[in-house]
Amino acid sequence: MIALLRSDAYRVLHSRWIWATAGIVAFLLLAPALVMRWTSMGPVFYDDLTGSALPMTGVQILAAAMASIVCCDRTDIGFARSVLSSLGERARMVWFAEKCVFSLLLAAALIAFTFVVGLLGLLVSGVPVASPEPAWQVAAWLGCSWLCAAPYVALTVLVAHITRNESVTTVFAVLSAGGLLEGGLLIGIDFLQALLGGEFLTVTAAVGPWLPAEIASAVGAGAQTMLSAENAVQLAPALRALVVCPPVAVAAVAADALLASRRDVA
Amino acid sequence: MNVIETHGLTKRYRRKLAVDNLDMTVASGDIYGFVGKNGSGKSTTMKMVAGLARPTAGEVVLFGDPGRGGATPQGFSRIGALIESPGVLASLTARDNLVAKALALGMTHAGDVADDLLALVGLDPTDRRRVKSYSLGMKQRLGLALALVGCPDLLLLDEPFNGLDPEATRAMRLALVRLNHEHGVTIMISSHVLDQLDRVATRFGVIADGHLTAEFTDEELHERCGSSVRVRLAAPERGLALLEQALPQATFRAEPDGALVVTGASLDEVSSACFSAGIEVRELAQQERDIEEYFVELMGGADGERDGGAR
Repeated sequence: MIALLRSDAYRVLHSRWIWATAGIVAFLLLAPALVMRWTSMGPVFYDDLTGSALPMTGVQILAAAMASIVCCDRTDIGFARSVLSSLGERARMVWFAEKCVFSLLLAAALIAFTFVVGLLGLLVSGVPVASPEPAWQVAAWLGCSWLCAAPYVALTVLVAHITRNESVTTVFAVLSAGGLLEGGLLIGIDFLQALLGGEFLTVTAAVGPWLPAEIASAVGAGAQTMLSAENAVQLAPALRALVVCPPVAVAAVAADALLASRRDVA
Repeated sequence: MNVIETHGLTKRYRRKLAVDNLDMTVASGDIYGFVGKNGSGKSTTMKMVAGLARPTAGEVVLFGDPGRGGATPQGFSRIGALIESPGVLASLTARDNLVAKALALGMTHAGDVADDLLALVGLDPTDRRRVKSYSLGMKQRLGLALALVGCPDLLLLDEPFNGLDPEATRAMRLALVRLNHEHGVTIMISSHVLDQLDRVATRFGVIADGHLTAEFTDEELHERCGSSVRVRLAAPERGLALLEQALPQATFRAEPDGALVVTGASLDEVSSACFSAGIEVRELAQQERDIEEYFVELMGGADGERDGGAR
């Protein structure tokens, strides 16, 4: 596993797309900060650090898209086949699991990078933070952001290995991590229920707060919101993330290692 | 020791039977030429040997060990494969491709391994161009280098001469022979470039419609494709029976036009046998058999010849 992780880290770090992504993220975070500084526009101060200009709300979309790039090297024609042909049967199962683990580590690196550049942007903008949270809250917030990205990353890897299709995987990554797939599914169920004589949107009202996209949105709003139980289900989004995200991610990793690795790879 | 043994190997893709009950053996040290038409099951067989595709029935025994399937205790395969496409990361350099694979196989000094392999296949280790700008031949050579990462004991090469210019073809051929002679690597090659295959292979297997139709050594091939005598008789059936009696060491094959091709007997011997037996001869000529023609026949390319019968 470690050898495969090193290999993937090498090939990603020697690819142009990773540096292009880092450049775009840095630009999107630093450019508004510079504009704020030069024009003296923007807020007078931020209430806290995690609710400031550190945008973690959409980070899971980028993490899933990066996973789709990492795992769309097709096993049937690409470099992956060359590696897989040099691995024994058991090591091949590890190879599939490693792709999930690597993508999750990449998501963690992305979140850490976004946080650091976001902090830099905060400094550049010159907007003060009134009452920064304690370090443990910031760490928990970062961890929770990663937890919210994990199901989307793992599911994207699973879709990549099952479909072996870059377009399908990328579309799935963006739609699922954007919450459109799960939202659409719920609305569909609600619509069917309404057709059968039930009340419209009852399923969405009951299940909605437990959807990963809904939890990710609440976590993205900042550490205070993440830890607050003042919401529809009276349970902090951090706890809901712990209940929902790890099982989904683990199930996707297990399905990938057990199902995808049993298929012909070429 | 047999490096590859297949027993009743079968692969079915939905309704298509790609490989049908294939029994094949490749001995240690062989350069095994695997010949067949497009779609005859060559690549599928190689994929099953490499473990990239699962057999529908039958088994592949590698290195005489059915259990571990040829894997090292560290879980790495003893097989290097270049099947169908070179399998490269087009956005990286050739060296980066090799380093990435060497790292995946847990090798230390991955950079040195990459440099050595690039030199072996005739690519420049200092070339900073990305692989997407490479010619097909250069990609093929990189594919071979990738297959050689980890020092495999068995090399599976599917159409390795594709896209290579004459000089590169020669270099590839010499590299394969050197790997076989100096490093003891057993090599299985499928190729349509029969003259190149003929120059390197020590054994041949011919596959047609998923079946192995023939297996023979290099010597046997040249024996079969050596000179023969073409004779056309007034009464072919009676004449064949009499010639079989007169020339028991010879082999006879009927041509679609009714002529007999006699191998294992000289022109004089056939002529004398016909004269002694009182057989009326309408045509008698010495002929050389083309290797390509022989393979085409074995592959089922000339149905008339195949069905014409041979003793």
